Parts: sequence; C-alpha cells; structure tokens
Amino acid sequence: MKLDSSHRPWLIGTVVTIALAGVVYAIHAASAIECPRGDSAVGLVFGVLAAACLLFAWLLSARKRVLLLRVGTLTWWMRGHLWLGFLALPLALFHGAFAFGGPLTTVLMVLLIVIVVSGILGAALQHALPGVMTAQVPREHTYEQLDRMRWNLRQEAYELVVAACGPGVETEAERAALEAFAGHPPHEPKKITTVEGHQTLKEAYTLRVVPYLRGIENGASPLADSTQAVMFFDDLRPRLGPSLHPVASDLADICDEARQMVRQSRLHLWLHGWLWIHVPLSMALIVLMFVHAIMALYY
Amino acid sequence: MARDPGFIWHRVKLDYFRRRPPFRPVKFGLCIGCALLAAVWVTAGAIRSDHSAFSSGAMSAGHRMLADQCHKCHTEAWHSLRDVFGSSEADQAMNRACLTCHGASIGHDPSSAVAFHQASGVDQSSPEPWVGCASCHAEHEGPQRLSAVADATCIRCHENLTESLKTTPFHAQISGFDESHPEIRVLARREPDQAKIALNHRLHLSPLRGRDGSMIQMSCADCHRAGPASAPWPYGTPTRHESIDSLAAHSEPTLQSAYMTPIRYSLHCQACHELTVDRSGERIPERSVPHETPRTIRTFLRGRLTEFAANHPEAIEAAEKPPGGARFTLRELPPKEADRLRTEWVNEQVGLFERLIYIDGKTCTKCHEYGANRDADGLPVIAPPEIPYRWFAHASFDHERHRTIDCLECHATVGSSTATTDVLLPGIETCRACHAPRTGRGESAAGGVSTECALCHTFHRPPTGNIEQPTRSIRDLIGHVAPIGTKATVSR
Repeated sequence: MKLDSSHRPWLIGTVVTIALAGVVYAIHAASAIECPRGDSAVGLVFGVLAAACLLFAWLLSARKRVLLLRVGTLTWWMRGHLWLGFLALPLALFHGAFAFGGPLTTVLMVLLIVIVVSGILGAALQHALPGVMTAQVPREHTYEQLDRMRWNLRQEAYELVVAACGPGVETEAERAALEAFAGHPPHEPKKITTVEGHQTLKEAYTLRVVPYLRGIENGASPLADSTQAVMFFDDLRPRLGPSLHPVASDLADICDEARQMVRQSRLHLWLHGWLWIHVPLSMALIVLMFVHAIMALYY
Repeated sequence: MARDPGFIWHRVKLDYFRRRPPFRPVKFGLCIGCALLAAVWVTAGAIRSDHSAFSSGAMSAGHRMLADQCHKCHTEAWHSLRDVFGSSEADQAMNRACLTCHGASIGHDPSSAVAFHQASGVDQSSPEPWVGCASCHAEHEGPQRLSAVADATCIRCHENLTESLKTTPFHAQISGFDESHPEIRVLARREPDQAKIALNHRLHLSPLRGRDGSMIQMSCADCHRAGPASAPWPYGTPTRHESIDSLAAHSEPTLQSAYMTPIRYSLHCQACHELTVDRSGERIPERSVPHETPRTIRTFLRGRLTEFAANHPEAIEAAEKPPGGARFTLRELPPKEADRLRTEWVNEQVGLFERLIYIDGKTCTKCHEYGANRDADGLPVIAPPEIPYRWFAHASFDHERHRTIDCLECHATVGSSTATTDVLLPGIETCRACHAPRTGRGESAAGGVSTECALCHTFHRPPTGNIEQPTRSIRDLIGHVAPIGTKATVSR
C-alpha cells in the first residue's frame, strides 16, 4: 500500500492520539503513589483502547475473507489496520506503564512489539518495492504464474534452437522434460538446414542457457548477471553464421526475461515474506490478549 | 527483429486464480498453530492450578514462596472487575488475606480488616479514610522489599492532612524531610524533661572520686547503651536485692536494639550510690537496704531487726532499762511482755532507719522525689521516675545504627547539663546534617543519607488487646490450597 496523502488524516489522528495519551499518562504517572499500573482506572482505559485497536487491526483479515462484508472499502480497512495497529503499541506501553509484568504480559508485549515492527517494516516495503518492481521488472508476471512462465521460456528457447540447428542428442533431455511438463512434444520443424555455427549455438544452449533456465545454477551462471550475459552473447555471435544472430539475440532476450522473473521472485519475497511472521503471531496475540483481559479482571 | 513470445493468454493458465497457491495452507496452518500454541500454554497452567503465568509481575522478596499460589492472596474471584464497578468487598477480602499472616504483628480492626495507623484514635471525630494494604504495599513490582514504602505514599496525606481529617494535632503540611518537616515536638514546644529523678550530667561526666578513693572519669556508654547489653556495666552490681527495678516504671515492655537500655539502679547506679544504712553491718548484715518500694524496705528492715532482736536481747534490755530502774532480762519477763518489748524496740529501730533513709537526705532523697506525701502507714509515696525510654512519640531512632558517631556530636549539651529538666535531644537540624540531599564536594560536602519517611516513621501500630494465637503451619505457607470457588484444603 502506497503511503500517500490519503493517509494524512490517519497520520494526524494517530499522532494526536499518542500525544494526548502521553499527556494523560504523564499526569497519571506524576500523581500515582507508586508506579502507575495497568489495573488503575487510567491504565484500564489504555488497555481497553489498545485491545480495541488490535481487534480492529485483526478484523482486516475477516474483511478480506468475507467479501460480502461491505462495511467500508478494503483500502479504508487497510489504512485503519496500519495506523490503529501502530497506535496499539504506545497505548499498550502506557497500559503496562512501560513494564512487561509477568510471563503472560511479557509474552504479549514481545509479540506486540514484533508484530508492530514487522508491520512497520512491511508497510515500508510495500510502499517502496512496487516502484522498484516497476523499474527493475518491466516484464512483470503474475506471481503465481512464474513457474509456468519459466517453462514457457524453456520451451520457447528449445523451439528456437531446434528450428535453427535441428534436434540432436544434446537437446534430447530438454525435449523429454518439456514433453513431460506440457503433455505433448514441443514443436519441431520438419525440414532442417544446417547453417554455419549451429554446433556452437547448440553447445551454448545446452551448456549455459538450459541450466540457467532450469534454475539449477541460478547464482553461479554468467547469465544470472545482465552484464555478463551481454558479454556472453557478444562473444557467441561472432562464432555464429549471420543467420543465427537473431536466434542468439532471442536467446539473450529469453535469458533477460528469466532474470527478471528471478528478480520478481526476490522482490515478492521481500514484499510479502514479513507476513509469515506478522500474521501467525497476530493470531497468538489475539488469543493471549483475550486470556489476559479475562484473567486480569478475574484477579 | 524482436522476439515474439505470443499472446499472454496462450502463455498463462487463465484459471490460475481458482487454484489455491501451495503456500497458503502452510500459512493458514501456521496461524492456527500459533493460536493453538498460545491457548495450550495458558490452559496447561490453568489445568495444573498454576496461574503464575497470569501474574502481573514478579513477587516481592518476602512473598516469593507464594508466586504460584495466587489464591492465597486473591481470595475473591473477579477482584479487578468488582473494582471497576466500585465494590470494595474484594479489596477488603484481600486485606483479610494479608492479615491472615500479618495480623498478629499489625494492629487492625478485625471487622473491617483495616490496619491501624500509628496516630489512629487521636481524633475520633474524623476517622482515617479506608486504606487497603495494597495502596501502599504494591505487590508484583519485582523482588523489592515490600515494606519499603515510597515517600509519596505518606506525602499523599501528610502534605495536606486537613483535606482528609477535620482537625489534627499534627503538623498539617509535610512534604518530606525538608523545611516543611517540623522540629522534634519536645524541642519545638520547649517541654522540660519530665523525669522525676535527680540527675546532674555535668557532675557525672566530671572526674569523680570513687568509693575506694580512686579518681573515676565516666563516659556516656557507662550508663547508656543501645539494646540489651552483653558487656558488664562498670557501675552496676546486680545483687541479691534485685527483685524489681526501674524497668517497671517504663512504659515500653520490651527492649529493642534500637533503643538505650533503660536506666536501672542495679545496673547503672548501685556501685556508687549504694543505699547504706548500717556501715557496721551489726544490725543489717547487708549494710544497705534494697532498692525497692518503701513498704518492701520496711518489711526488709523489720525482718532484719527482728532477727537482730532475737539474737541480741541485751540491746532491748539496755534500751528498755528505766532510768534508775533495776536491770532485767527478757527471759525474766512473761513471754507476752517480752514480745511486746521486742516489737516496740523493732518498731522504734525501723522508724530510726526510715528517718535516715527518707528524711536525712542521704539515700533516697538524693535521687527520688516524694515531698510530704505519705500513705496510710506513713510511708513516703515515691513518684515513679518516668525516665523516657522513647523520646519520639511517632518516630523511631536507631542508636545501634548510629553507634560509630561520638555521642557528643549530637548530644552536644550534655556536658553542661546540671538539671534533669534539661532536654538533651539534638534538634532536627542535627539530623539534616546527614539526612538531606547531597550537596558540595570534599570537605564542604553535606547530606547524602536517606531522607525516606519510613526510615523514622512506621505506618502501623502494634496490635492491641488480645493478640490472636497464630494458627498457620509452615505447610500452610508453602503448600498449595484449592483454587477459588472450591473447598479449601491444605495439602499435607
């Protein structure tokens, strides 16, 4: 989510609330005989507010899942999730008077801190990374289709090379793999004319392009780096006949697209990986929060 | 010519969104797993009746053994919830739980479970506001000493006492051990020492001639020592006479190490001020009378003189011989007449000794006051000495902790005091020389010692009336009891 001007009211609201809460806490702490406590009237108000913020933030997932629940737009819920979730941390700190208390409350505070920090990190990444994605991955694909697109690229590269150089023992393994994936053999030309440098191209395809596209030497392959890839294909072209130069250029383009997919995967991991910490811990937090509320009132 | 990968709808599976991504079940399972883990953690403790996970903080050092026995103190369920709705029943129940263990040492009202303040009862028209134990002794704040109460707790009321009390005999506005703290009362009111005993400190601290003729230089510690002394007192000679002593005249029944051992004739005075009435020891073998009440002394004298009369009839015969009359012996007289003469002689001798003791100013009158007051038997009524054991009515002072300081550093006027009425207490400024915020450096440094209220003042009163017989066993304290709502059973 882009942190644009539409967040300004939420930002102002959050800052004002924290400032007000801080003033109330300071007055309460100054007038308290001992350390201010969570079970004082002011402490309880802070606790209830923090719990309400967390509940609202947690309801985002319900709003996402129950699409029929048309109470506010998803964008509005997301903004609320972001800012109220952030607000919960200072309110919880005021509630506990900046002390972590006993085992349950300590776990709660640690969870809350981890969740809020991961949320802030996630918001920052989601604000910044889409721009980076647009700049670095112009041929962005649907993330869920990346695997399929990688097979497509392998098939396209195979058909290009076979069309230019004809099938051979070197390409047999790749052909079998493609057939197994697609359920039918890849397209192969019926008439094959041998041209100058076809063996060199076939070797380059078999030894460098196929392993890279298969992903078995992603990091180590010279094709993983755009500069080295350019040098590789610049070195290859003079050794090929003029009719094979367009094929080499297409292979370079396919490798470039594969590189963008790798980059997209990596960026996607940054963009959504933090959720693997944020969401499960939020579930634990909500459960423990209710337990804490009940037991605190019980005792 | 650029490569043409073909139409996108040929390259992708158009129904991809219908398929659940492979990682989603994993993420869902992780969420459920975390929630379950949290639930299992808290319920496992609850099943084992161990609610320590729900503690709001570490227990104080003194209550550590109760860390996993929440129900020992939290006797009422939904305490905090009731607090929210303004009910004080749960607070009272918790107070009762405190008093279950501490009630034997803290004065309290059993019906309301309120611990009495030191000053309670001074002003009955404005009773103190209800104060729960936890108002001052906040538990679950870590392993600190729970009895160490912050100054703010005291100042809350004492900075404006008239807010909570209609009238108060105490200084109404005290905000700490600073200028707002009043001078020690007896000094502020310039009240004389009310002790009814004659004592000249200057004389006692001057070089004196002892009974054996040698010169003596007394020091403060010869008579004033904190706590029950183990070393012998240089001027005390505990003798056969000691059956009562001046302790009976003191209001404090117990000796505390913080306070000076009360002055006792047998410990502090007798070596020099023996109550000698018969230097020869002829009639009173002990030569002196015991330091007892006049009635006891009379009984003692009568006993010794009766013994003497029985063994020395010649003394009576000589005394009863009429002027110019014939000599006689007691044996010659009828027994009744002999007894009468013996009794008369003893009474006469007792009267002579009592005159020596009470009127001639050589023994009792040296120290005690009794004037012309006489009881029905004509014996002087000696005023109890009432030497103050504690000078501070509402504060305590630990002489033991101050023992490294020369007595005269604080009690500077002792060397010039000639009358009992002189109050030799140091003023509050003397205390502030140390008990004040640290100022200056090196030679000009001052203060730096704690100024906490609780250093001198304690909130609680000792219990009055019948002290409840403690009934708790060690197992009660360290063992487990059933949770709230179930029949309480102590595991043994």
